[in-house]
Amino acid sequence: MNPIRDILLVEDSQNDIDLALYALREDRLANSIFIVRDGKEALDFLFCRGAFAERSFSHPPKLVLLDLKLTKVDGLQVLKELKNDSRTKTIPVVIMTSSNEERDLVEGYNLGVNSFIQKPVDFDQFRTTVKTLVQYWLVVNQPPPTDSAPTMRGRPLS
Amino acid sequence: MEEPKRCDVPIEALLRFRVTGGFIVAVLLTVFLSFVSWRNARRAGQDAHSVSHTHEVMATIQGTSIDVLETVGLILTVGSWMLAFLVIIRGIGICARAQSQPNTLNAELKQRVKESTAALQSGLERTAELTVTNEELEAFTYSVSHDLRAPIRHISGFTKILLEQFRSSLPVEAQGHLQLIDQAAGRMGQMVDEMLKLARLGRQALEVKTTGLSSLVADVVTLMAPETEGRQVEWKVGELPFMECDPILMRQVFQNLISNALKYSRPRSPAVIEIGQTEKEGEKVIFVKDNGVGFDMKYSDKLFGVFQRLRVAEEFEGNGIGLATVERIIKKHGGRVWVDAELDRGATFFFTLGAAEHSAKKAAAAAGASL
Repeated sequence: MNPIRDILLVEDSQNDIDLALYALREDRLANSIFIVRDGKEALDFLFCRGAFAERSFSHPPKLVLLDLKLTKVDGLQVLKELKNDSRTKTIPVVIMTSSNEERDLVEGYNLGVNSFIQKPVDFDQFRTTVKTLVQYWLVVNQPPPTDSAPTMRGRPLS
Repeated sequence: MEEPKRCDVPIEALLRFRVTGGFIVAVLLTVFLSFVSWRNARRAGQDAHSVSHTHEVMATIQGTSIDVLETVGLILTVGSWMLAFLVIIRGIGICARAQSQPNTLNAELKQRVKESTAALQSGLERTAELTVTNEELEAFTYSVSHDLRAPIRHISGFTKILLEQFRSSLPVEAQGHLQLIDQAAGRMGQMVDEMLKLARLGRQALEVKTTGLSSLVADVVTLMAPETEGRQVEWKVGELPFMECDPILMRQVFQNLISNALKYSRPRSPAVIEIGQTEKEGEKVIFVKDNGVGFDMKYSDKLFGVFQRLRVAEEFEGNGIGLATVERIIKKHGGRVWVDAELDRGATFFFTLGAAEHSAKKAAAAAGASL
């Protein structure tokens, strides 16, 4: 298995997956999503190990949509490992969670999250949010060059 | 519950007085009567064989003569000794009791101190318990609201998808039902988000600053412009003080109160909204007054409750959380909020800022600063 996808969606709720896919399908972005259901799977994907051993660090996702409440390894731990590794720390991560618990916000930003979004309850708002942020990170935003050594580019973490 | 015994300290002195007095009287009486009977006996002895004036044989029973005085003396002597004996016995009893009384009193006092301490302790525990319960309740509200967000989002989402994707194959009636589900989910989502805001307010620390309420109110009034469009609104904003409060939260208070005033004065033309200050028992009181539809004061206790509304949503929109938020913020400042209203004759909301303001006054006085 060696999927090259632009978006990694880390989400344990099938309902939320369906809704996100429905929202993105309208913009024909659904096919660029790869879905993992827990924190361990997310880390395996991002660090090209386990079931994803054939993946390569040279093709990182352009965006990680990360839920916080995950089984096995929670979202903040995934974020921490991702941002603490020079091979993965430049990958944009957007936390998308039901909660906007201040603790999570503070911790998330301390760990270097690129954006923090509370999933809106209203589906229209949810749809707009998902579309907007995917548009932004995939189309508007300039991703870090993948062929250069990320260690040189990325600012060292304090 | 057992009624605590009365602690009568003077009874001790009273008992001592009675015992001592009784004893002395008894002894004196005994001595006197003994003396009288002794003297009589002596006289009787002296005049045993002579008939004296003072001795009269009153009766003769079987040849035995009885000397009246001697008999009376004897009876009195025996009687007085018996009396003295009784008094002494009783005195001892009372003394013993009186002596044990301080112990009883002491014990009673100790018991009462113990009871009071226990009551205080249980009071403190109760307060602590309530605080914990309150915190638990808040944490519970917070987590429940959070957990509810996901299923509501799913209901809202799939209902919309049904309506969008399958509208053509759905009977009109089914479409209507789905629309209602969607609206209900939307309302529920709003309520949950408002609940979260309210719960967050409880956890948020106050950031108290000297705040000019006049400019704050002016800002809020400007902010309300869209709500006044096409309406005649007469603003009467009086002089407002500088107060020690959290400006962000205070803005929320004015926003909620003014928006409320605007909403319920909608049937009026012009709507008159008055914001000013007054004084009550030496405390600054801020008020927001409208000439709107008002309400019956017998429902006033419901006004500040979460999701409590005195008007149906169809008549005046709202989620029933605005005034609950106001109350929460004011209480957080250590102040009070109350309302005066009459059905069809408008409502006036008053609030004080209490402790935050008092401590600020002290600080200002200490610094000799004035604003």
